[in-house]
Amino acid sequence: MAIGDTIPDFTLPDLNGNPVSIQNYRGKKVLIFMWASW
Amino acid sequence: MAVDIQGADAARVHAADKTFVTVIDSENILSDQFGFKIVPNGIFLDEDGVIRFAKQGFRITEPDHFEAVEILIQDPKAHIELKDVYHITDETQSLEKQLAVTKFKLANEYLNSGKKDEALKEMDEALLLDPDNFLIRKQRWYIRYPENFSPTIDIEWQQVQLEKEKAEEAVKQGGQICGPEGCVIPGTSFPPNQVFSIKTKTNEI
Repeated sequence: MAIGDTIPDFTLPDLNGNPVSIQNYRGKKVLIFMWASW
Repeated sequence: MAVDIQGADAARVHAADKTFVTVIDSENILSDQFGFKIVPNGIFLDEDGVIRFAKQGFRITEPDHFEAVEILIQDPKAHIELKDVYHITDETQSLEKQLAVTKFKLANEYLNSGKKDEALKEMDEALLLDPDNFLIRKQRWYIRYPENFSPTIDIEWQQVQLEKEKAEEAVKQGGQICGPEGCVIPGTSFPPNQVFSIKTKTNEI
């Protein structure tokens, strides 16, 4: 994955287990902040 | 996006009160695709879903990083070059890295089935294949030594533990793993304009 690539379609659960798809955010600018509790 | 192998339960306490959406990538699917070995990381997508920025070691509290996001919001096609670079120089074969990722995924499955010892064994072996992978190392600490992460994260313990583990791994692999500056845990100190690098020497196969 590199700058200029299109983000692949993925769906991940939110904190309540509901699926969230990155496709839902087409048409919006998105900042993904990747973190962990450790 | 929380990458905790323990899933939503581990992430919720940090994220439940935030206005933005939090998703759980407990199998580290996205971080594998970007080749990230640490957290935190930042990825910016434009309205077409095109990746415009991907920064390993991204921190919104860093003025340069914050400014980068401000620029990208105005102009998603802007070329951003940050002074701080997180990189690792190594000669590890890519098949070894892939095997490490596969073992980590297997560890995840073991954990889901309640087989903690089997999970830890796979993580031990994964780290021997990819010792710079702090996603695996920190997850392993969290599972093996949970008392050092709650109520607060004990960074000093992590530093001592890292030195110990690197020494053990060096014995197993017959070479020096950390550079002359010692062993660095990425993300624990973050002065701008500093290059982080961990040189590794691995056995050629």
